[in-house]
Parts: sequence; structure tokens; C-alpha cells
Amino acid sequence: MSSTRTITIPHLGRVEGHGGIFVKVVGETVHEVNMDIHEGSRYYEALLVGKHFLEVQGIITRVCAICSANHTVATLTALEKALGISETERVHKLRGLLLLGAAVESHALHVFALALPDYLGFDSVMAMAVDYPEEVTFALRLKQLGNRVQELVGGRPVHPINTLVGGFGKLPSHRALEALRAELVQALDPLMRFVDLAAEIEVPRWAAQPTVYMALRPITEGYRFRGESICTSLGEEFPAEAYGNVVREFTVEHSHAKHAALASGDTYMVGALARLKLWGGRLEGRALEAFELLFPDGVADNILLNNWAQLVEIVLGLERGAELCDELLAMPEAQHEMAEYEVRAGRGVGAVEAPRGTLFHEYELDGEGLVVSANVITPTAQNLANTERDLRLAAENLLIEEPRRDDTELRLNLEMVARAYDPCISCSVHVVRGDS
Amino acid sequence: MIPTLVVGFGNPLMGDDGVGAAVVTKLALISHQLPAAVGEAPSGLRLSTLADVLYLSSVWRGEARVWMVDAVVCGAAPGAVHRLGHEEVLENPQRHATVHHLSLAEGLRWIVHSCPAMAGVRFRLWGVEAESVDPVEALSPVVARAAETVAREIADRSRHPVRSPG
Repeated sequence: MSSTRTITIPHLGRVEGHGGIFVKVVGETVHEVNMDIHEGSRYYEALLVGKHFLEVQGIITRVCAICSANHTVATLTALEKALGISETERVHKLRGLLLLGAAVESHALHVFALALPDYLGFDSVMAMAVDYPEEVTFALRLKQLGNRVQELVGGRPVHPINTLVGGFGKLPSHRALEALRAELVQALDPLMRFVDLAAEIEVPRWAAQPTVYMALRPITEGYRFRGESICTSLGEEFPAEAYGNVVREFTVEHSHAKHAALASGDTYMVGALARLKLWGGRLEGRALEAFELLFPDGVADNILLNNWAQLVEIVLGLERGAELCDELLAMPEAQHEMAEYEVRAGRGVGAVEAPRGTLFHEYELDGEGLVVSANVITPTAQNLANTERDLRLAAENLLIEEPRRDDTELRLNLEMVARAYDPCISCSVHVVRGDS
Repeated sequence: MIPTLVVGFGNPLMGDDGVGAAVVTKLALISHQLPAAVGEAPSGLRLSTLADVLYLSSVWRGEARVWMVDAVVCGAAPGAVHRLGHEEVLENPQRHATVHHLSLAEGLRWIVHSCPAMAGVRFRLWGVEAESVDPVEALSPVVARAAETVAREIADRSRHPVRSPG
């Protein structure tokens, strides 16, 4: 009779503990790999129905602390489309700067505090501080710099309040933009030292397999986080408004969170690696330099490389952020910018590239500006099915390589795969765990 | 009066996870103030709510003490209040809150390491055992009562600042 072995990773689950990663191995065969997470956004969508459109941003951004800027821009884009409001050039640039700040903040936390310790053989960022004290200090400063970008544009470092339907309540002064630009530029050289460090690390290949990628086509010729159409690595392209037909959500027995696949049935990956796969050729300057150092043979199908893709995007965030400051400084200084509009019934879709991948918001408003329906599809929900697929392959490869591999090592390796997706699992919940 | 920042962690839209924010709101009411993202209470406490410990340095304004309130899951009865002093907070072994977030203790250790100005801050945590963190815009009754207790305890403690350094 074959022996049965189960491996569970409860940290991935909700605080109640029903969930996480569950792997069942019978004999030498991986029988089951399940990942069950809580998809919090459904609750928020129901909360929004009947609310005035001006309340939407303040509620929906509570879906996430780290991605609140991305939810904000997606919300405002969708609402402005529903109301027929056109974004001015300055508003577009400022929202772009906000998204870059969010990317720097989120990626800095993920790459340096959550992923890099795994690759350097430490069990936490603070264990890493013993050998890399300056790097650990710089990593937090980088995250705080991302916060400062969001604070300057959005009015506070998280859950922006200065971002409004039609524009901004208050525009950053030229003096503040000059100071921010200087900080962004100053951080580039120390960051490139991290790129050199990462380029020397050998990335395991036990989760590598052919993958379909999806990302928005950038709105301009550059590498951007906003777009009007959805592209896949299969060569398909669809308008963002058709997201409901592109992202086919389905339920699975073991999870109360929906999974997603394309119409072809392929599961897919969204996030930094997908963006690099599709649009890496558009990078310039130091970001291109980082891309070529970390991906000398182009973007390979290996989810563990998503960490390095995020590192490239941090470089992009600093570099493009400084460029955007220059472009904003070239405009006449003003106190505020707000489009005039009339409330009307309508429907709009807003799509942005969040740190973890493509994020969709859709709202339908009635003639009074009240929300009739709301729909949010987060990147993590789209990545779930692909995460399970990569976890299964990783478990199989790791057990083929070493059938007696102990649970602790296997758990760590599987956690690295899940972590590489940078999943935003229980970001609505924040509790301390401990022994009573 | 020792300058003290009180931070309530958590999300008020997620049931008992919102206990930190609830305590801050109660402290503001005790001080006859409207709740605000960051407000000055007459007792000398500065109040803030945060979703993540790594934003702490964004709201810290040089206070010698940072008192925190957060939901806790460690197997005690719902509503039980865990009182952790400076060393106990920093030495909590939990690394990650999720794959996506550092734990409160790990985040604080990172801040103390990387922000020399905050190295001398004394931390204290009131952890309230959660009953449920489902998406509900209210605390469970037992946690609501605990929030009341913690708010009064913090207000009392702020009036007797010499009792302990932390």
C-alpha cells in the first residue's frame, strides 16, 4: 500500500486557517495541489450598489492597502468613462506618477523583504540584515520613497484622497516635484547595485514551464501601466471593455475563490513577468540595462523570475518617475485641475496594470449618479489557476529530484513559487499571530 | 506628558480586524474629538489608523512612545486582551502576516533597523483576540466590549505617564 503524505502551508490562508496550499502525495505521485484563498472584492462590489459615484473611490480602495493607488486609478478611469469625462494631459501624467509610486512601494517590499531572503538563504529580511545591513536599510527607504510619491500625488501614502473624479483637489507644487525628482534620481545608483547582486543569483527551474501571459497594451509607445486593450502572448488582442469575455471566471470545488482562464481554456499569468514578456522591448535607459542584466536570454518561462521582473520595474519606476516630474515641471504651475462634467447614466471600464497584474474595474451608473452595478477582477484571482499549475509542477519536480526531501524544505520551495506571484491574498485583513 | 502616538491597525470593513480603528475612534470620542486619519487628542495622545505597520514611519512625528492596537489570533477566548511590552512586541517570532505582508513584529524590527530616528521609540501593543474577521462592517459584541476596555486603559495610562517607560 502506498504511503500518503500531505504538505500544508497555512500562512497563505485566511486567519481562520481553512485554506492555503495543500499538497497530497500518494507514493511518489502528486495527487492533489490546491490553493484556496479569500477573494475579498466581492463584498466591496455589493457594498457599492446604490452608493453615489463620488463615494466609490473611498470605499473600493479599502480592498487593499498596498494596491490602493491602482484601485483608485482603475476606479476613476471607469467612472470617468461612464460620465464621459476626458482626462487632461496633466491629470494623466499625475495618475501615471501615482501608479509608478505604487509599483516602487509594492515591488520593493516584495522583492527585498519577502523574496530576496529566500534566494540568499535567510529566513527573513531581518536575518538578512546581519550580512546586508545597508541593503536592508536601503530597501525600506525605497519602499518609503514609493510612499512619498503617493503622498505627494494622492494626498497620503495609502488610500489616496486627493485623487478625484475629473482631476485632483490639489496639484503638487513645482518645488515639491523638484525635491521628489532629486530623490528618485538619487536612488537609482544604489538600486542598480541590487540588480548586480540579483544577476549573480541562480534561480531554480523546478517551477519553469510554458506559460500564457496577459497584459494591457501600453497606452503610448513606452512601457506603461495603463492601456486600452488586453494582449496575450498567444497573439490575441481585445478591447479592455471586453474583459468579461476574455477573462473567463470559473468555480472549483476546493476553493470559494473563483479561478480564471482564457476562452481557449489556457490558464495565464498576469504581473511584472507578463509585462516584460510582452513589452520588455519598449524599455529604455537604466531599466533596459537592468532588464538585459537580469534576463540576458530574454524572458524565460519561470515564475520565480517574476521577482527579477519586479526589480526591473522598480528601476523603471524611479527613472520614469523622474521623467514624469520633468514633464510636469514643464507645465505652468497651478493649484488644482478639475474637469467640468454633468452627471449622467453610463457604463465604464477602467483597466490598469497593478504591481501584481492587470486589474479591471467596471461600474454602471444611473441618471442620478448612483451605482447600479460594480465589478472588480483582481490580478491575484486571475493568477490562481496558474499558481496551482506551477505548484503542481514544482512539487513533482522536487520529489523526482529528491523523493525523501523533508517537509520543511518542500514547504519553503512551494512557498517560494506562490510568493513569486506576489499574491494579494488577505490584504483586507491584518492580524497578529502568536501563542496565547 | 510623554509624546505618544496611538496607532490602530486593521480594516474596519473586515469584522474584528477593525478593532484597532475602533479603539482609536473611541479615544477620539473620549477626547471629544471627531475621528480623523491623524488627530491630536487633548490628553496628548496623537491618534492614527493604519492598514500596515510599514506605513508607521509616515505618520510618526518624533513621539517617544508608539502604542498600537491590533487584532490578534492566538487561541485565547475572543475578546481577550493581550498586553505586550516593548521587548515582547519586537521579539514576536511571526515573520509574515501573509506571503504578501510582513508581520507587525517583523515590520517594526525592519523600521528600527533602518530608521535611526525611531531606534529609541518604545513600543507597546494591545492585542485583542478576534472572534471573526469575515467581511462585516461591525465588531463582534465581545470584541466591541474589549475595544471599550482598551480605549479606557490607554486614556488612563496616558494620564499617568511615569508609571513605566513604555
